[in-house]
Amino acid sequence: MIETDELCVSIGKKRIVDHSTIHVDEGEFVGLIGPNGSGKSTMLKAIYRTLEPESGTITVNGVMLKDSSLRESALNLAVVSQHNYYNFDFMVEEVVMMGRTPHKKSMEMDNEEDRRIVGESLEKVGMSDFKGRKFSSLSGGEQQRIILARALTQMSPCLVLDEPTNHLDVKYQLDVLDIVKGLGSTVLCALHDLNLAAQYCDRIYILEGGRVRYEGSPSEVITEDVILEIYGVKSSVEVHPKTGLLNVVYYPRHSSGF
Amino acid sequence: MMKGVELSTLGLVAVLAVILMLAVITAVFIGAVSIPFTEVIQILVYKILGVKLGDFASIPPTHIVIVWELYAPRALLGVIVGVALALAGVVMQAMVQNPLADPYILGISSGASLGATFAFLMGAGALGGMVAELGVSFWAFIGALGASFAVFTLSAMGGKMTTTRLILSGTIIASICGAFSNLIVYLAPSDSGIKSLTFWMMGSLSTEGFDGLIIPGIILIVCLLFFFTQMRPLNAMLMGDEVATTLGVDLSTLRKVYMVLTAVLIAVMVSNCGMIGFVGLVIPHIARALVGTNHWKLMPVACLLGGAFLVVADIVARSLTTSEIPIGIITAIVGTPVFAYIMIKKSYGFGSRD
Repeated sequence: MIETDELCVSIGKKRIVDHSTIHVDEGEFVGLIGPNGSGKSTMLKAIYRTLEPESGTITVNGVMLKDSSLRESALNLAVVSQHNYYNFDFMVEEVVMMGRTPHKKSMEMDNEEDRRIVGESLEKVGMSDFKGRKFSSLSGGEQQRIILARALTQMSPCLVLDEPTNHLDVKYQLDVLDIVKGLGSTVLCALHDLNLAAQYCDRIYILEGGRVRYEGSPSEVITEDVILEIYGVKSSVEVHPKTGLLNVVYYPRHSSGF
Repeated sequence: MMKGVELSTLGLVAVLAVILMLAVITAVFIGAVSIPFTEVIQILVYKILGVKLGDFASIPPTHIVIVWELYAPRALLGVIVGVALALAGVVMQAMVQNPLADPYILGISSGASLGATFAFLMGAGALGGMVAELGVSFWAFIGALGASFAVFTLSAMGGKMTTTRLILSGTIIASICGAFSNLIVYLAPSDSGIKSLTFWMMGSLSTEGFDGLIIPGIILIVCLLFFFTQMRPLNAMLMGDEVATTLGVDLSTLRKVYMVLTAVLIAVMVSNCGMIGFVGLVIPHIARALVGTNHWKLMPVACLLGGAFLVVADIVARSLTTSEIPIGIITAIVGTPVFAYIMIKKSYGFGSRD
């Protein structure tokens, strides 16, 4: 479970997240959508503790963040952030093994169980053959799947993803979200793409100006009116006859639907 | 496959340990006075084990003094300083997540220079007595430590201690120290101190007896024991602040501890031997080219390489000419081409992609 209560986060003097209350139930896949600058990433950063909240509380897996160490938090919550770039090169297996960090004492060596967990995580993301490769030699999509494998290796009940599909081509976008959906973990995921949000999320929060504006199932919140109000874009939203899922089509200015 | 990698790393560590030992033994009998190999062995066995081998009485007493008071402690100091510089280089590069970092990056070298400048040039002036009495080492140590704590305080001021802030603070403090060093040189009443200062800055491992090794040895052992428990956090640090935090690593606390330890370690080394460049920058990269970025492998390999490299560099420094060439010159002359080579080599991109 992930919960925030009246969460406020400021960067400098500017308040980015403003009295936002959200909750993600166990096993639920919840999407966080909203325009650029609406506070999605900032809210997630407060939840995964790289930003300090100004006021309000955050609870992950029943534990208040401010009462727990970073290590405890890492045992409860794993993170896949936007595309990662590293200054130093590691082997794929070493990157994934880092997910074991919160589980190990400082002098403890990696053991058979750690290696088994790493192997399983790599298998879940379909990257077993890449174990011995250098991380930097992989493509963006492959790297993102390795980062996902690292998060899985953390074996934490909750997962936070910050636009995990950014910069990925269509195949990898679907791949990454399919893998996450298949885990059955408690997932909070910021997404840009409304179609992906509609297709994968159980429930969605729409943020604007740091506040929660809408909350509900995809069909409740992803509507033509809401898209026009929040994004200022005309669209049509229909259930796609083949997928049975919501499908959003935007109308560009030059189109006849505008 | 993983097993194989570990075995080969262990093999490499063993080979490097043997090379280090051979280098130390060589260093003990090479020098301005050439002493027969058998005599060196006899002296070492006598001093360490108390056993007089063979015709011990025929060894000239001066040889015993040279081997035991000069060459042996010097070789050991080389090991200590080399290991310390390599260790601090590895830690510093992880701490600021920058492959160009070296042990001196956070103001230490400029602070030490300022301290040494003060000691050499003011020692001849009005304040003379007191400054001179405490010695160059003392002032270099104070300067080094003072500068690193200034960097530390500055980077923590008004916000989180990020890598960028650390590097910028280092640059700021280095500039201030440099300015004051130059001011002292400019105002110096005589030129006599300037040459000694220049020589001091180029570094030397010369030492008399084992007493001088006690403090560097102890601080090095403390740092080695501590940092060998820090492989996981160090690895996580290289993934960036955000990822390290989400892996449960408390960066702000660890950075402070790492900074204090490396600052004291390097301040002690610099105050004993001056500025020996390139070891702390190049050795971690050579080690990385050999065994990769993972600190479990990198750390032992870098430390052994650093120790062996500095001992060998000192042998070269002592045997090229009849007098001694400052070791900093040798490490730079040997270090730069090696650095250039690993940069040109395509398979090692300093970790970055391009």
